[in-house]
Amino acid sequence: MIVHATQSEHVARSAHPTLPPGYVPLMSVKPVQFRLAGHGRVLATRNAGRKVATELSDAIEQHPAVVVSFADVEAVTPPFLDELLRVVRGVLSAERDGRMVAVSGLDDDLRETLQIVLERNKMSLAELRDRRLELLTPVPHLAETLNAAQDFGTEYFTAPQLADRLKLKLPNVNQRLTQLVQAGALAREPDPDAAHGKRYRYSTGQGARIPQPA
Amino acid sequence: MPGIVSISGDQRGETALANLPTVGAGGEELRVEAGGLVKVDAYTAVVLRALAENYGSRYRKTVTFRPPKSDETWALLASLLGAGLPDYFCPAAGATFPVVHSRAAILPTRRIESVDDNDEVAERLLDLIDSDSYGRRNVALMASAFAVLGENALIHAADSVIGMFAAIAYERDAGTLQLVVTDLGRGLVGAEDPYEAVIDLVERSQQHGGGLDGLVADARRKEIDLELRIASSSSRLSWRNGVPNVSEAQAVPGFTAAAIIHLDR
Repeated sequence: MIVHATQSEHVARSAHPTLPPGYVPLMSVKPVQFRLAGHGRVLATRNAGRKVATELSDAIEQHPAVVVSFADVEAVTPPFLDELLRVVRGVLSAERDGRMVAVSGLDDDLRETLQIVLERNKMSLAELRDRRLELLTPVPHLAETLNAAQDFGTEYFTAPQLADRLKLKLPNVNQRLTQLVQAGALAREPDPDAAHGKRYRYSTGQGARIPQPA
Repeated sequence: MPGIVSISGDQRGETALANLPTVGAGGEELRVEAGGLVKVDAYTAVVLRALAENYGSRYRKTVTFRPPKSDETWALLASLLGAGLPDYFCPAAGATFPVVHSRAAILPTRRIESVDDNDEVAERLLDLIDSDSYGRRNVALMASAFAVLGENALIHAADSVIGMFAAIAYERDAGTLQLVVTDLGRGLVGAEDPYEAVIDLVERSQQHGGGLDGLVADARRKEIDLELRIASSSSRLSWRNGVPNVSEAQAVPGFTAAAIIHLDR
């Protein structure tokens, strides 16, 4: 179930100021919240997982940034999540230009179940928590990179900027960024300001002001 | 001359499964003599319900039931047998259904009709099982287990002549919350080696992130003492603390799966 946050909700929920007139945010489409609770409080069967995954797939196709909200869900099982993550992984690995897919509204129990499935599938995913993105699978160097990316406080950043900040070599940072894009934690698009060749710019979605969980 | 099933003593757990109707049984009237029953649980209830459904609904033969002499046992069993018993099921002369509902009968035996029905009941369990008494995490896991075991039955036991039945009970002596799902499908009955077949079942679940393995892994992560049990033909599985134990016992019809939460942890 997709819930579009209203403009006022975006502003109310965002820690970031309203963009100046004429400013074009990185995401040209409003991010949407995909509410799992609309499909039930117990999300357990593979059959239900397939149904919800089809809807999620459509949502991700239509929107560059999707927050999958677990708010009000009370139980979820690995088979259900398997079906859901199959779709997420498919989209994130197929897209040249990364889309953001994060989760929110997890309590400890749901988080633990999701972590089991992510580990089994050798995947990572970002959780939106207190307006910060955190990786659900503990990979210290990626967590460090994601934190640094969020600390830019700008709409978007480039790999050289991040390499400079982290005092790392560019290939190393590029590798980390690719992993974060594959985890849906960062959006990536061609950098229109790049002078030579194809370069990317990245965003943590701060410009897009992803709605906070209800 | 009616068939007779005589059950007595302690009929909790997989012991009760020996009374499940075999394929082809049910062509005559049935008398169930349960006067000597002392201990019952969700297993006992789904087995008796399977008998009632097989003879009473499928063959429309009268099933006469002599209830346990112990009021307490009869109260629990009657509560667990569930509503909607076949019209052909009747207490023996002089016997009546107790008016008291036992609180240990959490989900009286009920048929799982469809995938949607399965999802609906799983969700209802969140309200039905008292989370103050049993713990919110346990209740959530029980709801998940119901959905997973119910879905398995719906997928793999389409040939069950009685459909599939589930019940949830609190077993006071063992301090467990037990969910039992049974059907009269082929299960592992046709397997060349039922012992090997149940090992295959476990390995497939582990390799492909199946529902059973998912429940076990989830419970371990949350430090819930969950035991999954399967009984079909002569094979038995007990999967607890992440360790699957396979053994052999008396052959039983159909396929019975249980999710048992040991509450003392």
